[in-house]
Amino acid sequence: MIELALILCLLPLVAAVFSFVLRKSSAWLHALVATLAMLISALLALIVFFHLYHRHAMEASIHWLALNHDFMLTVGVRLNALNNLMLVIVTLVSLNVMLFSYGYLKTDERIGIYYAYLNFFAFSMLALVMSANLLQLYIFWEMVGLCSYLLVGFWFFKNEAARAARKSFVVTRLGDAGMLGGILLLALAAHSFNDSTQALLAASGNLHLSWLSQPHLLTLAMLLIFLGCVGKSAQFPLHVWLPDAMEGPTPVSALIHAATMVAAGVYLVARLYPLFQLAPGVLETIAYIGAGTALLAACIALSQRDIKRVIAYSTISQLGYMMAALGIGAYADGVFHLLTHAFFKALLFLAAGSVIHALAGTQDLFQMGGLRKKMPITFYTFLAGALALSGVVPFAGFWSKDAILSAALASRHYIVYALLLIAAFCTAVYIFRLIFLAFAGQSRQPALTEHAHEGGWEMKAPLLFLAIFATFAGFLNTPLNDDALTRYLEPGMPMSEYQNWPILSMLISTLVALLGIAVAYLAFQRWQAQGSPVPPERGRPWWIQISYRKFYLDEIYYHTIQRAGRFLSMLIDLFDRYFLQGLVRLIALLFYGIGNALRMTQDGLLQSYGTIALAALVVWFAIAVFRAGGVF
Amino acid sequence: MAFLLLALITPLVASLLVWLLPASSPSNNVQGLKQPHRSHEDHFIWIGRVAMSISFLCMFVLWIKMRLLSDVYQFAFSFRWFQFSLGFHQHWTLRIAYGLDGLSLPLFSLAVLLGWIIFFAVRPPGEQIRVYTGWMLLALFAVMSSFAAIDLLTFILSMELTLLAGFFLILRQGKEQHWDAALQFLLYRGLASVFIILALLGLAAAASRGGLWPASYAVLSAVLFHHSVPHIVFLALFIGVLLEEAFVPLHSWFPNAMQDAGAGVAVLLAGILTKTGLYALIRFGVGMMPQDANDYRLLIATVGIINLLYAAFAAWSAKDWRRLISFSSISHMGLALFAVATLRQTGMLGALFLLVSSGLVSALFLLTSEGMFKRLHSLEFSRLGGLSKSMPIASGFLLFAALGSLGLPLTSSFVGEFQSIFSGFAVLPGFAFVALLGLLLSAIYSLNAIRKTTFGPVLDSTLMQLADLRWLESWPLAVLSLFLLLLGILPNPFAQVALSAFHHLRALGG
Amino acid sequence: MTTVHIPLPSVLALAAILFCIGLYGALSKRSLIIVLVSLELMLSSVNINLVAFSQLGAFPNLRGQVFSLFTITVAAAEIAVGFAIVLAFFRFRKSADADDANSQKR
Repeated sequence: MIELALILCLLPLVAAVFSFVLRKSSAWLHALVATLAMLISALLALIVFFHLYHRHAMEASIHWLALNHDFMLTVGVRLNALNNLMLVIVTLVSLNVMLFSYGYLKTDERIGIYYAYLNFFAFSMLALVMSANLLQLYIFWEMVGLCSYLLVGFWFFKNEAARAARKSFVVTRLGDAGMLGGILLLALAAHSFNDSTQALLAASGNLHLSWLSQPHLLTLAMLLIFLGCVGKSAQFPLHVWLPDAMEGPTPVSALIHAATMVAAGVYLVARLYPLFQLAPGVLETIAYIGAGTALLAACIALSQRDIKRVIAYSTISQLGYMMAALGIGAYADGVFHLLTHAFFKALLFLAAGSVIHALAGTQDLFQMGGLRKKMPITFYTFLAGALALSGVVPFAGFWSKDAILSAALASRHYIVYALLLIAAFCTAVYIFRLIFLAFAGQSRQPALTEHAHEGGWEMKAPLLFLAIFATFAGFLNTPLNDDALTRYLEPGMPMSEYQNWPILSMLISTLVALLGIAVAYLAFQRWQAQGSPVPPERGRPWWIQISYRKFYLDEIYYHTIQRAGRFLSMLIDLFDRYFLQGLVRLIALLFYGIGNALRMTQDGLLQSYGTIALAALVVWFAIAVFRAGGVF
Repeated sequence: MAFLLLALITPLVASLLVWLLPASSPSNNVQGLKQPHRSHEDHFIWIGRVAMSISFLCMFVLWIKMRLLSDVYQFAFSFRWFQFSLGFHQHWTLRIAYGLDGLSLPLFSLAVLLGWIIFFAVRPPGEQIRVYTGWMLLALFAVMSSFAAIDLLTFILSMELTLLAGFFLILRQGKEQHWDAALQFLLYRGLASVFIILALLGLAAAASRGGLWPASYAVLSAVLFHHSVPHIVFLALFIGVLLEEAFVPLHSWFPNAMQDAGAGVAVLLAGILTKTGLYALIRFGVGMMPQDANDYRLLIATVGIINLLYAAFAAWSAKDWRRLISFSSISHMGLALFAVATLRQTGMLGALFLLVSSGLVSALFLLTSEGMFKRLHSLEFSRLGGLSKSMPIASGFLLFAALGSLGLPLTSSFVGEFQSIFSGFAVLPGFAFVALLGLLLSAIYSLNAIRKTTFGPVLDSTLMQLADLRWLESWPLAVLSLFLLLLGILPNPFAQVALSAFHHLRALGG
Repeated sequence: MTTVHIPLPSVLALAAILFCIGLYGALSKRSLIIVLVSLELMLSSVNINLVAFSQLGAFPNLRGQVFSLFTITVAAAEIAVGFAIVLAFFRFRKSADADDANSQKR
């Protein structure tokens, strides 16, 4: 099994090298290699998953680096319940994206490089979820960040893309720096980077440093690690990079910024859950940050014009749901939502990509309309995704979202419940707003939408595949089949001790979702059908403006942190160039001055030499007299 | 031992050859004809290339033959230089002695590697080939010699020789003479060598205990490990190291020298010459005066962290590549200094990895930007932009260098960085937290520069027509990148060799 | 013959004053001839000192006065040499100014 896991992880790497070395060859070759590699990987992942279903985890490592005479770092593979599940999710979604990318980018001359980067990302992500210890996980954590940087900046000749790439890397790096600190602290205390070992030590109360007791150490370290998750999973306040990352090609957004990389933060919290549970106060923090982010992002998504940004904020919001779930103790529900979200969000992005491709690059919602007739498959699959996202029964998102909501209710986290419920309402509103604006009614730009048509089979097939999952994946974990996923994930975990209130909660969530759809219909469908003009930017009410401008967070960050940093940097630069250099020159001038002064005694005149000789004689004489015991 | 001797002797002999062989007479060249000029002086470059290739091959042999022993200098050889007789059967012998251990082999190899790369990657300006090659070979011999020395006298002599060779290399670049930069180099490092020599004399005196002054490292380590040395000696060494390594606030010579130097000299400067100071601190300060180092640990750590942050901020404001590279190098050295201050095996290992990767990354940056410089005649950010379009290979290498600079995992910088911070958390946790900030800052300044240079729309049409790097220019860059990656992916062999040199730190709880 | 008793300090003071005048002249007069004359003055003051100590000092004897004969001789010889130098100097520099004896200056 370990060998299979290694193969499935390394295949994309091989494909990446192939695509890089032969980057000038034709597009279909790259797509073929990539898709084939990922298909095999997906099959292997399924084999591993089913083989190890309900069996013990497997682990294998090799020596990597000696830190000192008694601490040897290892790298290896760990195949436990969570990891195997992630392998399946990542490979399945990647497979669809590989195929879809061909349809989307076959006219781009740099498609070879694109596939190289994409495959390298797949390799890194798979290696991340198979890591045997935290240091290895960190290594691949950064690698996926690198791939995100490369792919967001794929069209580097656009200024916005270059800036977005840098922003994504720098913001996540802030989180990563904190995360490294947390990882190193834990490793120092446990004398091992292996998180199972650390969890065992913590459970028995032995995870402490000489200068930090266990509760304090765990709180500090887990908060730092969570900082990394906040960065990678785009939670408040480090969420600002994700919307800008939409500058990358849409399949990239689907894979990296919806289904896999951003889910890595959630994965990490889930993986280190035993440690999080033993750290006082951290889980509560996570719950509130998650719920708050969910609502914040949902509010911003309500007013965005760009189709991709709506979905991006939706991603941020849903990741907040997952974090909140983990925070309140509903471990399996959080992971379940990760699974369903991966599929329906990738679907939404790919469908959006289909629209963008059809409209020759337009992403502005206010220039679309009436696409339902022109692109039926895209429309229906998008609808499936939207229903899943809104949490309408029996689509996948309903089961996972509802599980979280009912867990919140049952565990008496009422504030979290309220936040998430309002966010659910907003979710339904914004996603159906998008549907009505893009697909329903009349087109606002007939010239643009005139020739819109579906992409080839390579774009339709992934959409259909993902739509099936979006519809039916929820049945993995319903009360009807005894919560199969929960039992799979938590056989040995302490069961969350709360009562499930399924019926009441299900009813409320469904009502809220339908309410949201109705509001969206009333607000947008009729407006769209009548073809009313787009309201100008100036005259909008303040609450729309705040939402549209993302609560001015980008501006706040720019004016505080960035300007402070640049100011400090400029200060140091000036200090360095003028003050320090000036000091050096001052010293040089000092010596020059002394030399000049002394030079005056050597003026070449006869009588001044005589004077000097006389003076020296007098001094010498005086000293001699003093030493001899006195004057007169 | 023969291989070490061969590796050291070859550059020296080649340098002498270069000075002694007849040069082309300038009067032969007709005004305006460029080709004949080249062919006359080419043989000097080839002498250099052959010499460094021999050393390079010897280096591989040394790595293969290296055994993991502690407290022993392998491949050792020495010869007697002076012998004074002091009365009845007492002699005072001055020797020149060479050998390698886990600490010096990596740095020695770095010097050989970069020297080899310099000769193949950089073509000196036509009028000065002989002078440049002669001094460069001498400088390389001197720096290799200072790493391989196992005797105080040898070390001191090599240090002074580097000073001499470095001065002349910085001074003459083609037709121009850069007195300012060269003089600053000479003064700062000259002062540094004064302090270091004083400190070494103090060491020898402290170890003599009334008898002869021992000069061999082995004897010094054995004697001094259990006795403490007067603090003034350590402080003198530390101040000398600050001056030599261009640490803030005594660093002004380094950006100036880097700005004016040609590519080969800049690689020498940033890649190797700025590593000898830390080597001296580790070898003498930590290796022979561990108690003193322990007492001053806070001071060293503070200086290290200040450097890390100050240089990172200064790099953020840099307006051209050379300044950025020099401050980036200072920043990495600051982190390495912090790692040394922790006095643990992991920290020493981290410092060593940082030294080597900083050398590799600086060389990569410099050589890639040199390729750009040749075509654009400017390295200022305001003149560059959108180069990915016309020079994808160069941009790729530049990006890789930036990733190495910011410590991306799977490069050796990451190994060095995380080991340093790990070691820091064990001993000086507050400082270690601040050091994490360095991770963020290095990402900011590196990616900023990359964005301005390679991303974005092309600034003007001349930039569009540039030719990309040719094979001749690219393969040295590929070699450097390969080593950077190799040490990042498979660091254990390197680490095991280095660890064998730090066993004595176990007594301090490292 | 009555001996007029001049106190020793007065004679010494005279000699000192003469010496200072001579010193001042040697170091600040422009004309080389005057410098030579001042040198003579300094030597004379030394002679006065010698004679004073031989007659009025703690252990009066004739040695001081004999020695002063030697210094007079030496002074004469020195003046002769000095003049020769001034003459040679004048031949090359066409001037007898002390300020022109500045060949070390650039």
